Amino acid sequence: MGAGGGGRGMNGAAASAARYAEAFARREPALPGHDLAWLRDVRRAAADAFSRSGFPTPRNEHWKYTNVAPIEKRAFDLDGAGAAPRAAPGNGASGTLPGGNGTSGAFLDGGGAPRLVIVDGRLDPGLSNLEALPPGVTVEDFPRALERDAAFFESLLARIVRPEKTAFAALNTAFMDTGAVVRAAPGAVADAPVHLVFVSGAEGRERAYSPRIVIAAGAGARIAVVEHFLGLDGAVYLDNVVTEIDVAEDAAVEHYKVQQAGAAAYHVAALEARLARGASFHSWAVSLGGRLSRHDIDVTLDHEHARCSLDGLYMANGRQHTDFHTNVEHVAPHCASHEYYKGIAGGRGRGVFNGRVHVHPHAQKTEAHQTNRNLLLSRNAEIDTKPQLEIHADDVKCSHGATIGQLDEQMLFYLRARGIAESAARGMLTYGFARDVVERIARPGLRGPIGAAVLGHLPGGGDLREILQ
Amino acid sequence: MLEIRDLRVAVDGKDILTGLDLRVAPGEVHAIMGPNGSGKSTLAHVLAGRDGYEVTGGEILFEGRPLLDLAPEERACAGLFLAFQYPVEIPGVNNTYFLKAAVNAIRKHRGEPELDAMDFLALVREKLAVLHMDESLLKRGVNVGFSGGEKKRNEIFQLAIMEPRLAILDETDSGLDIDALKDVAKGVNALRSPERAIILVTHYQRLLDHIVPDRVHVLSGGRIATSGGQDLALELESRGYEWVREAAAGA
Repeated sequence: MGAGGGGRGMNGAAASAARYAEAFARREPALPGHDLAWLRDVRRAAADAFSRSGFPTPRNEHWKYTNVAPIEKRAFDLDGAGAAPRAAPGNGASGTLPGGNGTSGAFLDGGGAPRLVIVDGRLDPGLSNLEALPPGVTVEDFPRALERDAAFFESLLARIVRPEKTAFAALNTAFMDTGAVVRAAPGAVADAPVHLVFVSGAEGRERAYSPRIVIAAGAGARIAVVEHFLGLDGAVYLDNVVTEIDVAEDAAVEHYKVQQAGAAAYHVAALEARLARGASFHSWAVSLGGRLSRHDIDVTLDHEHARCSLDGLYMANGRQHTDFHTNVEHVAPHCASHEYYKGIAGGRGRGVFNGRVHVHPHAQKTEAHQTNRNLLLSRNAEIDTKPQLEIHADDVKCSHGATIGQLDEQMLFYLRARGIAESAARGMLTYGFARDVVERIARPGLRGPIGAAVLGHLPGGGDLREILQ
Repeated sequence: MLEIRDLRVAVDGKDILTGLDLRVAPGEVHAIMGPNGSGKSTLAHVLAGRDGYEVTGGEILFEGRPLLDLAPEERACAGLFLAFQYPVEIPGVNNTYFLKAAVNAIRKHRGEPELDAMDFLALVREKLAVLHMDESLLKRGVNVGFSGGEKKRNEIFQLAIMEPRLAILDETDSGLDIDALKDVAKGVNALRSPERAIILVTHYQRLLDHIVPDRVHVLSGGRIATSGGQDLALELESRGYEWVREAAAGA
């Protein structure tokens, strides 16, 4: 490490901060909601916070294993979507989407579920389908929702994910100009998950996207939302996503995140959920694509009888780097959290897991369990895992376990002794390792396509299709 | 079918097999007996191609071809099957999927068409009945949560499905109750045919009451000390292994 801040020259960091500040000044008058004084203040405070902090360096404990210098060095285009709709991928754009014949073949919903599709930061009404929404559920793109009902956002936007929390959250809050808003009225029940699909990198520009996703479930409502990020493999871009989730009393939100960014892309996402009394939140996330990706998942349990389960799978092959940071704040008594994460790294891939559970002094009768298991497929792969339990109450049930291992030689020999070629045997065992995470997807209709996406990212996984049955 | 000539094998620098010779012809059932540590399981593992065994001398021909050059999967495809003493549990890999993948890998190697789901299921049901195995075992991970007896039945079930040319049963009888032993023996006896050979590696004689061997060999000190018919096994049962060791030392 040099003296200049995590290996970067201060001049580079200052120049980068200045570029973001200039871009903000230029775009501010035209950003969605620019006529709302409160939102202007929020954006300006966020821009100032970013100017002060700059991008994090590995000297920051939260970013110790994930160096974002490559993001800082890139001069991403911050000008947002242009005036005219761009060609959708498959309509003349170069590159291919993972898992698909054109755009719609890459979708996870099989065509029938309600979905909002945003291509290069702009709503694509042709690919979207919001006809099948159940009563009481609305889905809109972010600028439109802000225009229609600004009052809804004032007590919510940037209140759950606070901009000062990370430099990326600040940056997103300053520039947020696309995204989606899912609202469920009290008591509304949606049987089919709502799919939010973001396709990035279809333009030639090296863009930074700032999508904002807001999910609000009224008292007793039950909804499921899928965030699916796709990107073209040749494209260099940054997805800088912030998701805010508000779960009212006795409501239940299931959130699925499928990260299939393009192979050269950067994907940074912060999600935070706020739970009222008796509310439940289930997060299921898989990180497959991207050159570098980072997921921050935070849940605050500050009302009694709230519960969350956080499940995830991260895979890093080639030179991919993927990082999951979870943080559960047990503030109120009688709450439960369950975490189950698995990671797989091959090639020169690198995985990071940091799971913090903080049980506050008054949070008696807390139940908090965390499991993190990791699999290394090659000598040069690396995974760093850090369970971090801070328990300040005495009447609690807490557990954690973290492991890092390799494929079991006895299992490998057993399969080969039955005639299965070594590469196929390795693929089977690797999917076998990941399988129980996929099976934690509560919706059977999502399990198949997401399992197929996971399998598609395994070396030789294409030959093992039947393992999904 | 199988010809082992002067086989010498070391593990971690220690000699385990010290010049073993064995010929097995098609249609024959051979029992390899011997005290603990005599090298019985080493022989079974070397035949199947497990890592960690250093062959320091000799050769093995399987149907006229050198076996030691082949990877474990190539040996399986060539028709060799090892029923494991300690079948490993493989969580996350469904038993049915595994079986179908294994059967079809071998069929593909033989140039036969792969079995479709219907044909496969019919084959599986027929063999399950022979071994008194519950169909629900197929839906679980490979050997996951199986009792010791279920694991051994599952090995013989796989043997019945794969129909190899040469089957090696490594201590399949250990830990089996009498009902399971009879089912296993029934499964193995059903496979006896003029084209197929079977090697039973066992410490005890009782399996041989149910699967009657053509030849019995006693391993001692890393080589075959004596060979005979079923009478030899009965003699071992009454006199123990010590006299073989003494006889071998005196020879």
